[in-house]
Amino acid sequence: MGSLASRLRICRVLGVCFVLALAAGSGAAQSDSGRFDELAAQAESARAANDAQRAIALYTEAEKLNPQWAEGWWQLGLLEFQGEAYPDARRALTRFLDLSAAQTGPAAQAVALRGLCAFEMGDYAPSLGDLARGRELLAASDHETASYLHFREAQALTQLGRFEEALGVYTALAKTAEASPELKISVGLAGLHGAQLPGDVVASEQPMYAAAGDAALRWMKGDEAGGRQGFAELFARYPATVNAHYLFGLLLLAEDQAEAAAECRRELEIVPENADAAAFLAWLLLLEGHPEEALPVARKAVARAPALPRAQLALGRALAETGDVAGGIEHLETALRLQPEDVETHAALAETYSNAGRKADARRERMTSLEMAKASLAQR
Amino acid sequence: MIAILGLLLCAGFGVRGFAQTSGAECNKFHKSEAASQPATLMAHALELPRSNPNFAAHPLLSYKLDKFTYTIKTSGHESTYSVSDGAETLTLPIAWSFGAEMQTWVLSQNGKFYESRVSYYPAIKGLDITPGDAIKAPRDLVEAMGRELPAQETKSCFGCHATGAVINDKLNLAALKPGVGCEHCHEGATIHAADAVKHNYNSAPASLSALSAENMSKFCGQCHRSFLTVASQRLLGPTDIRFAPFRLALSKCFDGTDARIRCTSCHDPHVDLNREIASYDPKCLACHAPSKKNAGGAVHPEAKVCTVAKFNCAACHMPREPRVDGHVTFTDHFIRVVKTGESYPD
Repeated sequence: MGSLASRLRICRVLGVCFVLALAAGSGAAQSDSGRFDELAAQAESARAANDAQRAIALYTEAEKLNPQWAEGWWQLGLLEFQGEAYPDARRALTRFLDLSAAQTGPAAQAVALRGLCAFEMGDYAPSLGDLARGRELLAASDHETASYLHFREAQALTQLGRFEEALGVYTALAKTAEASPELKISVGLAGLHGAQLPGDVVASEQPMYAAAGDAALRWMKGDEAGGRQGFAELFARYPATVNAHYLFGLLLLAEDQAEAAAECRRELEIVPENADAAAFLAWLLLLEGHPEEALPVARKAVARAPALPRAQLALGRALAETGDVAGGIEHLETALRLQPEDVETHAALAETYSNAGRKADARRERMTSLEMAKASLAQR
Repeated sequence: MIAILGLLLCAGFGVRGFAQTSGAECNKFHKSEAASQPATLMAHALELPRSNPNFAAHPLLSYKLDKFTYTIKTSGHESTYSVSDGAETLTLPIAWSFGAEMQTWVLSQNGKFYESRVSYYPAIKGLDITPGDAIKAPRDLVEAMGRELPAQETKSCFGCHATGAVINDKLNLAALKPGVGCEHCHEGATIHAADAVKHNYNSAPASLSALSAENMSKFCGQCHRSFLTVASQRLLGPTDIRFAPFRLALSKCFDGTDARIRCTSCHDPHVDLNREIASYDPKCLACHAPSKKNAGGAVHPEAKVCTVAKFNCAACHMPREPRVDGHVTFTDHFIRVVKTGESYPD
């Protein structure tokens, strides 16, 4: 480490360099400032006259002269989004957000729009962060847009195969949302594990997804009788539908675990190879205190889908709770590699390490799971 | 919103279905345990109207909350719970009182179960709002009466507070025996009791004394909440002080393989809770006593010897914390060096 005097000298040099760089930048802009001002004014006029094509061309020209013009990138992003030119809109909004320090007003909208651009481009995983952030920023000022972003989040999760998370979002939305045909089909897609958008569903399958979504939405809205009736009708009309009983089982979790387990068993009678249902059933049996019963079910789930985190978690817990601590640790560690952010897996691993006498590992996992649990509570 | 009392009282995810034996049958062979257990708090975790000492001591309890007036009235062996908004009154019989000291009532109407919106607190010898129920303002008389319990929560409540209430994962109120009896923890005790009189001891339930500290925390945590349950269900916050197995697991001294830190090392479930703090000192000193072999060190190689005091360890290292507006106080089982002025470590 240098002395205080030498560090002060380095700071002064860096400061001079920074000032020189600023001067160079502003000098370059100044030589074109007349042209830039002219283009900016013309772009604004074209936008006001609803001449989007011309406005886009003028904003683009102006940004070439002065790429630090945040307002221009914002308008360009808006116009490109409105014209469904999502890749261009996404680039412009990213430039705007890079230049904008604020998290309110246009910046909040820009985050939301950039998430929607990514969604429309089929870039579902990157869209999730912006959709969620935009929803949070707009929740207080624009509830309608925030709900729309939440809906898109659920659809993105469905497209990514994260069906249970999507159902969680729909459960939150169901309290206030109108059960539109698009919402019903979207919920049905998440529930029956159809990684599609409603518009992509073939006509012959739409009634099935709508029926599943309608039953699930009624349940999510607190209409238990209506939900039960809806599922009874779904099972009668589409008895061989994959994941229908599993969906009902998932929804029953908070109400009655034994009934949820019964639905999973029905699912496995219809679709014996359904690893999701097997893993969920094994996990329910663990919750009910039946590790011996859970063990063979969990083994089957892992055999069918070794990359399914819940299957590995259930098998790890079942093994540990029936006395095979080493085997339990192996599968719980696998579950953790597959899903590093899962609180339950960290906590289960903590208890199992503890039983193995690995006190330091147990303590580390306990603290990790607690911190994660607190963080997720803070986000709610 | 789930009321906190439900979280406090109703865990029971792992409580199994069983038929029940009576303490009398166990008394033939386990005289000491069977004699003392019925006097424990756990044995009175659920009271029926006829045996509820609070109703006998307070035949009329009343409380006003918002625009609602609550009245608990006992006449003979019948107790009723009434709520009135001034214009209308809803009255229901009290069939089940949950808790040996503080009591909350589970009420039944039209096939649904409700957790009463007000509870009895011994500290004030009266009623106040049930923990967690202040969060939601009632819209009508039924909501003012109590919080509707989902089937799973109802099963968990009865599963923990009674014996034989859950058979094959189904709630069976006709069969329940109030409070925690032998079969609640010793699954298979009924068959064992029948066999034992014929001198057949092969069906004896698995010995719980063989459980490791971690497994015992999981076992007791089926009702008192294990670390896994609290963390995975995010039951965190000041009320998690009630979840002793969870809090104990946070302690640096907790070792899942060391029997000296098991639940039963300090608490014999067959005898009433010992409230004398000094009586627990030998449990702490089993590890923290000065070692003759290790000069300046403790019996346990990782333990330290307290330099401040030699007795009443729990008074400093397991502080008692008031909760529920000061009406109830709990011992924090997170054993630690408590810093002056520290907030509740969650």
